[in-house]
Amino acid sequence: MTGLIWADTEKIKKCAARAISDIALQKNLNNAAEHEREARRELEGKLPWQEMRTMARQSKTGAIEDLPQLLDLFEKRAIEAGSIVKRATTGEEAAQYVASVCRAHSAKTVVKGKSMLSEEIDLNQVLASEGIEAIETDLGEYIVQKRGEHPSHILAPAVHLNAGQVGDLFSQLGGESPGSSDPAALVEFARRRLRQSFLNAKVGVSGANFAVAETGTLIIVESEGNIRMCMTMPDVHIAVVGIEKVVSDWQAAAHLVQMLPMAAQGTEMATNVSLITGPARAGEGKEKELHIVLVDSGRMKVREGPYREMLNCIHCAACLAACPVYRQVGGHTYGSTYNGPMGVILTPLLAAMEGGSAKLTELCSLCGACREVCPVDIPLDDFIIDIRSDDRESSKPSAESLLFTIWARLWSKPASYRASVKSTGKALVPFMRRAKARSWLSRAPFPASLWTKERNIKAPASEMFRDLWKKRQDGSR
Amino acid sequence: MGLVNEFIDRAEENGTSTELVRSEEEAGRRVVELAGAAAVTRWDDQIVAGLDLAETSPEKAELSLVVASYGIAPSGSLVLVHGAGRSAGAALLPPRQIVLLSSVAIVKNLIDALLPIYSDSDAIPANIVIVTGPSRTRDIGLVPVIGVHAPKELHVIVISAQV
Repeated sequence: MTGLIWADTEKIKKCAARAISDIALQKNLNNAAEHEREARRELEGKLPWQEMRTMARQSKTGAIEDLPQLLDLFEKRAIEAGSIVKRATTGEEAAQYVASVCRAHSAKTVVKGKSMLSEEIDLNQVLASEGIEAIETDLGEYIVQKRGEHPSHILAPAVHLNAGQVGDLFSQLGGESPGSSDPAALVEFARRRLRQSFLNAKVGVSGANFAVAETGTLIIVESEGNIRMCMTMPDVHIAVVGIEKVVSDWQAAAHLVQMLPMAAQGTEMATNVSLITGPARAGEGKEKELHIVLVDSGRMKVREGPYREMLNCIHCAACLAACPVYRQVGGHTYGSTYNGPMGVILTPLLAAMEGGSAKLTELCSLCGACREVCPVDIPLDDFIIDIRSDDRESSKPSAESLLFTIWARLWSKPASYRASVKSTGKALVPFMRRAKARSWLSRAPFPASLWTKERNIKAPASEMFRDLWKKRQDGSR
Repeated sequence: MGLVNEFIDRAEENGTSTELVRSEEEAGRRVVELAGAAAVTRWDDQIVAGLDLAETSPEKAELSLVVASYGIAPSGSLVLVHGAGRSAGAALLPPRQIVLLSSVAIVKNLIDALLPIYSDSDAIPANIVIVTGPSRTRDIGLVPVIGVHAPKELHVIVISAQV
C-alpha cells in the first residue's frame, strides 16, 4: 500500500512508446499542460509569487516539523467538535477501518470523492473484497472506473480519453444512452446517473486537502460539487487524510488553500471550498457521523529522513504540467498512483525504496522545470538525483558500476586520460567520414555506443586543444 | 463601494451573474420576479422566508434561495454558512441558485471572512462552503462544461443601502 502499482522497466518502456505514438493523447496532454501553464503564468505575473511561495513553504515546513503535536491537537479539536478520529499507521489499517464503518451501517455501496490517498491504500479493492461497492463520483474518476483503468493524471483522471471514447463508454453502461458525444450532453448524463447514487448512499468517502489543527477542520476543494454531495447527502461521512495534510492555524490554511488552485490551474479560488468541523449537529437536520482517518503509511518515516521536505507537497500537480517527460508519456506509464516529478520521488519514499520503486526516478531528464513551478519550493530535481544515488549505493556492484570504476581510474591520471581520449577520437574517425567535425553522431563504437543507443554524441574536433596549445607554445619559443 | 464593484466584476468573470439593489424589499421583489413559477427551496433567513413562492423539497426544487454570510471581493466568492434552517442539501441540489448578499458583508480577502468565524471556538459551524462561480469540469476531452453537481446557474443580488 504505497501507491506503487508495478515497477517494471520493460513495461514502462512499452507504455511510454505507446503513449508517445498516441496522437490524441499527446494532443490532450499538451493542451492540458499549456492551458494550465498559461493561466498560471498570467496569475503569477500579477502577484508577488516568490513571496507567496516562501510563505507557503514556511507554513508547510513548520507544520511538518511540529507534526506529532499538531496531529494530537487536530485530533483533540476534531473530537470536541463531534468527529470520530482514527489514527491508522498503515494503509491496510485505514482501509479496514473504512470497511468496518460501512459494515456497521450495513452499507453495500459508498459514494466517493476523488482521493489519491484512497488509491494509494487500495481502498476500493479492500471494500470490494468485503462486498462493498465504491462508486467514484468525480467525473474523470467515474469514467476510468467504468473502463477498469487507473487514472492518468492527479487533476484530470481521464485526460487520456476523448469525448468520443467517453460517449461510447456511456452507451455501453446500459439503460439510456447519452445520445451524443457532445461533452455537455455527456456531463448531463453522468450527473443524472450519479444523483441517484448520492441520494441513496448511506456512506460517503472523501479525502481532504488540508486539516487545520487549530479547530479540527477539514478543507476540501473541488470544481464539480460531487464531493459536497458525498459529504452531505449520506448519513455517514468518512474522510481519509494523509497526516502530512495537517497545518497549524487559519492564517496558514487560508494562504495554502489559495496557493493550491493558483498553482494547479492559475485560478484565485477553487469553485467550491468546503470547511468541515464535525458532523452536522442536531437541529441542522438529521444527526450525522463524521469519521476522520489520519493515515501514516510511511509518512512519519519520510519525516525522519533527508527527504522530509517532500511532505510539503500540496498535491497541486503543477510539476506534472511542467515536466517534459510527463507531457510525453502521460500518467499510466509510471505504474504508480502518484506520477510526474512528485510521483517519482514520493513513491519510492513511501515504499522505503523497495520493489524497484527507485527506478521511477529514471523517468526524468533533470531539466529542473518542476522545481521552478513548485508553489512550496521543493528541490524536486535534487531529490530525484539523490534518490538515484541512494539506490545505486544500496545495490550490489554490477557490470555498470565496474565500468564506472574503471573509467574513474583511467580519468584520474593525466597520462591515461590523454591516452584514452586520443584513442577514442581515433576510433570515432570511421564514423565521421560522412559527418563534419563537431557535428552530431548517432552511432559510435563501444563504449560510446552505450550513449548513442539513446542519445547523439558530438564528434570530436580534428585536433585536440591541448595539442593545438602545445604547438602554439612550441612555435612561439 | 470599491469592494462592492470589485466583487461584482470578479463574480461576473467567474460566471456568476450579479445585480445591485438598494433595499431588502427590492431584493425580495427581484427574487419573486426571477423565480417565476419555478419550485423553490430556501433557507430560513427572514429576508427570504416571507416571500410568496411555490415551495418544495431540496430534491425536487429547480431553484434554491440562500443568504451569504460574506462575499470575498478579489475572487467574487460567496461564503455560505450551513446550520439550523440552512441545510447543505438546499444549497446544493437545485440547478439554479439565487444568493442574497449584503454589501457590508463583502470583505477584502479570504482570511477576513475566516478569522471571525473560527475565532469563536464555541460556535464553529459544522459546514461552510466558499462558492466561486457555478460548478464546472474539463474532465471530458478537456472541454470546459458549466454545470455538474453543484448549481449550474448562480445569481447574486447584492443589497447596498448606499447605491
